[in-house]
Amino acid sequence: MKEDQKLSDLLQENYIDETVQAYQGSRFKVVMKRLFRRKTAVFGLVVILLLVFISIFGQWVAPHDFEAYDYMNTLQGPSADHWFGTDHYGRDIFSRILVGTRLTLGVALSSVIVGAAIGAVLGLLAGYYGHWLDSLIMRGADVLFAFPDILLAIAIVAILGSGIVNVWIAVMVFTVPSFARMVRSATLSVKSSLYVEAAQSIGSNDQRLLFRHIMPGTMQTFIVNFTMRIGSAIMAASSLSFLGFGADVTDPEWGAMLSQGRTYMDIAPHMVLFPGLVIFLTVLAFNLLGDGLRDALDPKIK
Amino acid sequence: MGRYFFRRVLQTIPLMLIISILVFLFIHMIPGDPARTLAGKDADVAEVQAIREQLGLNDNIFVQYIKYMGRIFGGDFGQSYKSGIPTTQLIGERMQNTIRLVLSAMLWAPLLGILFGVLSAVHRGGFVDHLLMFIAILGLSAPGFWLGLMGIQVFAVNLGWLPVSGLNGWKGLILPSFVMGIGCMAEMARYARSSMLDVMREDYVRTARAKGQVERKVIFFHAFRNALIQIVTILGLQIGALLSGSVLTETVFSIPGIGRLLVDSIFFRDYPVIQALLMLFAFQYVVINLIVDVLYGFINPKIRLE
Amino acid sequence: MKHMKKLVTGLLSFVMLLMLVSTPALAEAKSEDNDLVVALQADATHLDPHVSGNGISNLMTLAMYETLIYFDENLELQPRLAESWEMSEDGMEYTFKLREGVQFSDGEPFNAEACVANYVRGRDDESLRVHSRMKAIADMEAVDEYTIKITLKKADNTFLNKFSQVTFVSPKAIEELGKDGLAKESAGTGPFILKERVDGGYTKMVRNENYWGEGPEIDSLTFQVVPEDGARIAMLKTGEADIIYPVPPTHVEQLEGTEDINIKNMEGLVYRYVTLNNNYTLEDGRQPLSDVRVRQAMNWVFDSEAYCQVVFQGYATAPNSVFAGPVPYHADQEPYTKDLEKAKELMKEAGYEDGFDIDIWCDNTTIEMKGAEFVKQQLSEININVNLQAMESTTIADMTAEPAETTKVQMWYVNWMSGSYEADGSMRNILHSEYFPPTGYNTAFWVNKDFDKALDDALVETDKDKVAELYATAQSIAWEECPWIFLGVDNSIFAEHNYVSGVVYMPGGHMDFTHAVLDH
Repeated sequence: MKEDQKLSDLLQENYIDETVQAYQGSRFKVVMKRLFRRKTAVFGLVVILLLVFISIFGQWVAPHDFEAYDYMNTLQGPSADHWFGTDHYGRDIFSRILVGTRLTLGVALSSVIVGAAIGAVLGLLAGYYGHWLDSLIMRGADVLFAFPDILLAIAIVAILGSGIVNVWIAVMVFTVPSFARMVRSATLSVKSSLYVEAAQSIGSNDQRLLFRHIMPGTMQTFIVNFTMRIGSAIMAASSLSFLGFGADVTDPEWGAMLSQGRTYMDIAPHMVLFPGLVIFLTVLAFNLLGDGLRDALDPKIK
Repeated sequence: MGRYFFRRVLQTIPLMLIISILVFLFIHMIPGDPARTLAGKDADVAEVQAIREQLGLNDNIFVQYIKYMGRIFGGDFGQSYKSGIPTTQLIGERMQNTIRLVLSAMLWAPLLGILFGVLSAVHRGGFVDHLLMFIAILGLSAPGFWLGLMGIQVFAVNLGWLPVSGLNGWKGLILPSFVMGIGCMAEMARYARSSMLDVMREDYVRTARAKGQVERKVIFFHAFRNALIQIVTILGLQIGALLSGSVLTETVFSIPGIGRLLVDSIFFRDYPVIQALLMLFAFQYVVINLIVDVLYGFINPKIRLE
Repeated sequence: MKHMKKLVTGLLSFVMLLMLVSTPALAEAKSEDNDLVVALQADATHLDPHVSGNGISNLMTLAMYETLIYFDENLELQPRLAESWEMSEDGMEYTFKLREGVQFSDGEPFNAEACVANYVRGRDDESLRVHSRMKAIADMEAVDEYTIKITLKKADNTFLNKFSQVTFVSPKAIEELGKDGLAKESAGTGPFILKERVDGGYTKMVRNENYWGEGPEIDSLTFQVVPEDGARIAMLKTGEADIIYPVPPTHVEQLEGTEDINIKNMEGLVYRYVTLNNNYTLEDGRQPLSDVRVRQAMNWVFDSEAYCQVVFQGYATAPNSVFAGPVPYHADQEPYTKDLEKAKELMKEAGYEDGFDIDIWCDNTTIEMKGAEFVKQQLSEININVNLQAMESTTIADMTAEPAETTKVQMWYVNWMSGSYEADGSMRNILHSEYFPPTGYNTAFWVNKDFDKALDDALVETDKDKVAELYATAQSIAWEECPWIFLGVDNSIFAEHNYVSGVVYMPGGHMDFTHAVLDH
């Protein structure tokens, strides 16, 4: 018996793992090459990199102090000094957008990362072990899924109160079920595929199977969804702010900025136009990159 | 198949029960006292207490839940604290506006989306494909409330073509319908395209082609008909998304639908209304999920056995 | 995807062009129909006039139901369903002579019996808002068909103010329709009758053809709920709404420049202030706000003129007492005109030269936060470091209802108005020492027995001059003692199309449509 185990391990190490790894190694280059062939995806990537740059250095790049009140210059339209105009406190909207990038992007990214991680682990467990664990996790996901995204988020924020932290939690929570479902179904299909069956048949243990074989197999769906999800997280957070459940009005969060601007829509349309445009472009960039990644990872579709 | 269906339906019963408990608990965790809000600022303690007693807020939470569930099975979702109108009647009235809105979007968005998707798939890689898919991704990425605000400013205030309020006849529905439908259209276009591409790779389409049938006929009678099954599944989920999109659209266009009712009720702590609305949304989603699951089981028997 | 760049630039320039270049579409110079549309920020809570008590509910119900007496736009009492009234020497009894020949819209006659039926309803049902307006009444009796006599529990100079808010509903409707029925149909003596209503949407009323007086010329009156400021203004511009209220101060200038729109800018009743919790304790055990010099310094450093400019674009009035100017018995005080030196000196005397840290609570609406933000900035000049905490109004209502022992309130940015135009109602609930939370809203936890006595004495006094004197004393004590930072009184701003006439606009945001006319 012991001998058999050793033999199977040996077989696995030397045979299956190596092929998988070799396959993955070369695959990365292929994927990148495919990705860069798509101009829209490159556009998305460039915008995202720019946003990341701004969220790190925004404070230093900003031409004005984003918190400086200037009551003599409220609601000014775009000018050479204030590229995107000023708001109802006379604050420079362009600077606020730059500084707010970190906040907006940070909230979306971190909440999706945490939500996706929790969802992925739950999905893996559910998909791999099946039976009662599957039922439990999936019914739980069903409960969360039973509420449309924005409604679930509203419900959560209504309970916890307004504020950026609670928006973060809300977005995180509604990210979980979709990842759990996605990873579960991906796990199911990988599980029934040949290389896992092969590993199973030679008696490889659960943990190894989960982390060495099934995880990488679900990776591509995961990456694509992750990218797209950040876009919707930004959208959800700004929607919450728009409804008055979101970020504090002193925070330079894009959605909150837009929300404050709507009162002044007819006398200072730039207060709505620019934050909205930035949200739009950011979501677009993530969606374009997500699309590009999907096509690059799964050339069958294209 | 029958057994699978039956089992899935049974599973939804505990699900709805859990949801009802969660909703109930969640709502009572919301800080804020509706009795105080209702009494107004200059009311004294005795008045607030009288209102609280009348609303049954002095019972412990377990008793409140049992009473609540008991009434639900009798078809009574309680009365709105704010207006005193029975919740079912209130939601019924508001529902009409939301349904009108959702229907106005359903009329054009999925059809246009499917058309875009099919055209894209047929012209895969060409200019039409790129253009349509670019439009779709724009639609997917634009915040609806932003489009709505800009739309009001441009088309109602500056140009005077359309009314501001969503309540003003069919003209008032144009902008809200566009804002509501654009995301749905985009999603449908993307799904329709990939479903079509999937189907067009299938053997029977290749066979049809190989047999020398006219391309248009192949696309229509073989590919599209089969892709439609998947597309319709997605459409079901889109209805749910539309309903939740109504929260934002109704706010922007001052339409008194259930979405705005939810937001208003949360601000007012109108427990019975929030409860009934969340249950309604949840129920609708559970049913759609059920249908989707059953459809999947139908398409892929392997899942059924899990 | 070479087309993408072109597409994006194309789309963008198109949008910008439409938004910034195109001229606004002018609405018609005449109304399209004879339906007066009033766009409001919120909806009435209930259309049974005895159930609800907030401003917007009153605005709508008072178009359908009437009171015996009312305050005109100069805040003077006038008869309506009463023809005259008199008070007994001791202020305990009031006799009202009722107008004859008035009918409720359901055909029931309006008479003394009907009045008593309304009284009984209000007396017996504590959950009705009208209950608190009738609390002072010991008994109401029908002397003859058109005379009623009211006996009070004790003399109360605010009785007529409160009674001016009591509307009369057909006794038959009270009996048969009740609360639920009255939410859907009306049975009052007023110029309008409820036609249809979509909760949260609109409320449509038609002219009461049997109105006893000279009624309106408009066929119908529609209140539409438009919570978004921007949308409300847009609707006024496009002519979808004929009157809007409130108008955000930021838009007044622009609307004034529009030819066919009139702005009605009234001195308001909403008094804004920041309560200073006298018991607020620093980490080192000191209580800065218990020192009157600190509280005064906070008023000397606060520039209320600038506040009115910055937060309300000038559509507000700097305060010269502890309640709004139009309210009867208001007595002018010497204003705290900004004096930084004096403020610094007072702080130094009190030993707070280096200031202290403190939290301020406010509602999380833009305008409230803007105001609180301004307070923060002003106080920073005397080194008081204010931390702004914006919360939902219902949350704040809960947190400020905590009694002195457990409360966490330090400063609260808030406002107050007396809907019945009382001096007593403008002060008692928020300044009297017996009105600490949860009984009232004295969240300054300010105690001044002389002030309390002046208020209490005034309440039972029947001589008007003495009442005025006592209220003047109370105001000067509070003004000197500074339980609050006195901020300002914002104006009530309405906007109407110039084809609207005959609508009477009141300081508190109320409108009277009895003689409304539309040029159509």
